[in-house]
Amino acid sequence: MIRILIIGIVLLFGLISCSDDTVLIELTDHIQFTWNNTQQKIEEDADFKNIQKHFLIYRKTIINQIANTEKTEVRICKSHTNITNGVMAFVLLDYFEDIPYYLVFQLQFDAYGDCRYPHGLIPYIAREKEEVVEKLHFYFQN
Amino acid sequence: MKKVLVSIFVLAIIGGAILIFIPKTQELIGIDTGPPLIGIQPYGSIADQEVDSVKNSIEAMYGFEVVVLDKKEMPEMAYTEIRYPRYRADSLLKWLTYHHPDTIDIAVGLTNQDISITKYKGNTREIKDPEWMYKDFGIFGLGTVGGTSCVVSSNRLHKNVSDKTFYRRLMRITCHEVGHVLGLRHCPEANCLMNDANESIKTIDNSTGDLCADCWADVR
Ligand SMILES: [Zn+2]
Ligand SMILES: [Zn+2]
Repeated sequence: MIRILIIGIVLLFGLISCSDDTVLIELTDHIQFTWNNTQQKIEEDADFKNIQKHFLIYRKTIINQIANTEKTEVRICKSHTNITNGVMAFVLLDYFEDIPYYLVFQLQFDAYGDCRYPHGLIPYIAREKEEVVEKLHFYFQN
Repeated sequence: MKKVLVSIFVLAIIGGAILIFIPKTQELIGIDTGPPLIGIQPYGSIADQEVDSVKNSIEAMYGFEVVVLDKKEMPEMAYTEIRYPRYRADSLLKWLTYHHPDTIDIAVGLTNQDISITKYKGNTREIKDPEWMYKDFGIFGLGTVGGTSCVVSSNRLHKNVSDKTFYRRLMRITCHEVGHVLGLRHCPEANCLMNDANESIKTIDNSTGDLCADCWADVR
């Protein structure tokens, strides 16, 4: 009985220490990255560094991918589930570019809670994906 | 078999206890871990005296520890020429949310540049009338209720007033915006610092400069 308990505790500690829940996002053959649901960030691994290195070349493709509706297991903050690859393409873009939301979308997102993204932004990106793609292309062309 | 089930049960209880007490989990499930550490982010050519005054006013009013971060240039991404060359306060909030160090809980951006937002009709996405004016409307400060950052501009507080009046205004605007971040909404009490009339300069000058009892009770 005690032996089972000790093994169990050791296993549990092991489980807790490496229990980060991660999701691999594959936008294209070259553009893929891992989102960490527990830490709410993109893993800064080799995939991430590859995107970082070629970001300006990939940017147009990443913006186009915002229209991608494939479902993922990603969770953003406490309130956003059912996240698509498209939303994750935006999340990726937003990691590398300081996007001024009002100047790009003509919509003000200024209410921040305990989340990196302001209220309403993630649902807007998911809902108006085509408009978002168009406005981002326009912003980065000018 | 029964022993195994008992062991799993005991382990679940121990596991639950551990999960509650490790700091990372506390943060994930939102357990309060003491008073917030506030960091002032000075931008551009803001005077040291203004930074000190903002630091002192937050410490005196709320009693929280305040640190001053290294000065940064005004973020280019917030620049706009919609009506005048100035900076969007909503973009500055985004910048502060993304760029403030993990060591602080609340970031207070401080600038001497003019800042602006779009004012909407109530909770709609329709811009207030007249649209040309409210599309890009100059403000003193912006902070969101229960967020992690706010921004204060001293730009509009100088005009034709003594130093004493200027610093009193700066203190009141700062404490109003920090109040929002600490969880306070606008307050109906006329003399309260969280009354939304405190967003107009006349009422800021006439206000008592303190929170009402109800607002004090709600400071997180
Ligand atoms: Zn206010
Ligand atoms: Zn009040």
